[in-house]
Amino acid sequence: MANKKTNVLNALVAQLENLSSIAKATRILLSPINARKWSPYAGLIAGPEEVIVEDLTHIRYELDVDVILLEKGRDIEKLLDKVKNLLYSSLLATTIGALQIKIVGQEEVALVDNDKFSSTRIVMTITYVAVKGAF
Amino acid sequence: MSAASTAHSKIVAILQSFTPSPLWDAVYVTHETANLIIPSLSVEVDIDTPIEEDNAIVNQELLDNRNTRLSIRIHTGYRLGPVNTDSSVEIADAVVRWLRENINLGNGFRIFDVLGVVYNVEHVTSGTTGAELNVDIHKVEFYEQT
Repeated sequence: MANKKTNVLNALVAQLENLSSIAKATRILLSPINARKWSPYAGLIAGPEEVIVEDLTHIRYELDVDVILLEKGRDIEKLLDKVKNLLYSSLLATTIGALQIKIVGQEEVALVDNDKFSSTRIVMTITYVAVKGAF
Repeated sequence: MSAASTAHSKIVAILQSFTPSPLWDAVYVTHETANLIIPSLSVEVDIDTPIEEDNAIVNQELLDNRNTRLSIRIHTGYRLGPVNTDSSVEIADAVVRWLRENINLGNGFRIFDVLGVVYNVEHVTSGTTGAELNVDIHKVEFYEQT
């Protein structure tokens, strides 16, 4: 049985893949060469969990997650808007089993020609609760 | 059961009797609750702030047993998340109003002060944001003539 972190990230990947403008989303970031085969592509980089509150039965964690987006040319700006709309949606946190999603930063997009690939990064913090002893 | 824990139980029971209320969804008996939902309240005995009396000579043990300061926290947002000041103010005012209007808690327990209301606080131990207030509870001693 997967732990809560994996469940939350897998659910987030599923939500990203549901977006019609994303061809593939992965829990582990693909290498640039592989990612280009699946453009438009979204990949996750998850940091370590940080314990915020711990009591006898539950632990509340915060998890830093980066979403890397890859798309050709200036279309990446449209993709970025769609992904940000999804992340700002108030229902997303509940859907993926988390308490809260907070977007804390976004990398500036370097605009390139239409036949070249461009990538950008959205940095966010996900808060969720896990039952103690459940692995 | 000590006077402090009885006073704590009484306040928690009163606040829980209003739950679910239109203003909050849960009441917790400790601030450090990991699966805390918002908006909610938590009540804990404030052991860090001793209550002083004006009497020159007091029995400190008796004083500690008679007077209890409870810290009531209002949780309306998680750490890093949006701060809901309107909701914090609304809940804090409702709690303060009720405590000031109902000073008799029964069995000799009386509320003698509601103080230290802060409307916009980040609660470090519970990883939340909201408001905070303190309530002083006095256990009235009855002496029997022998």
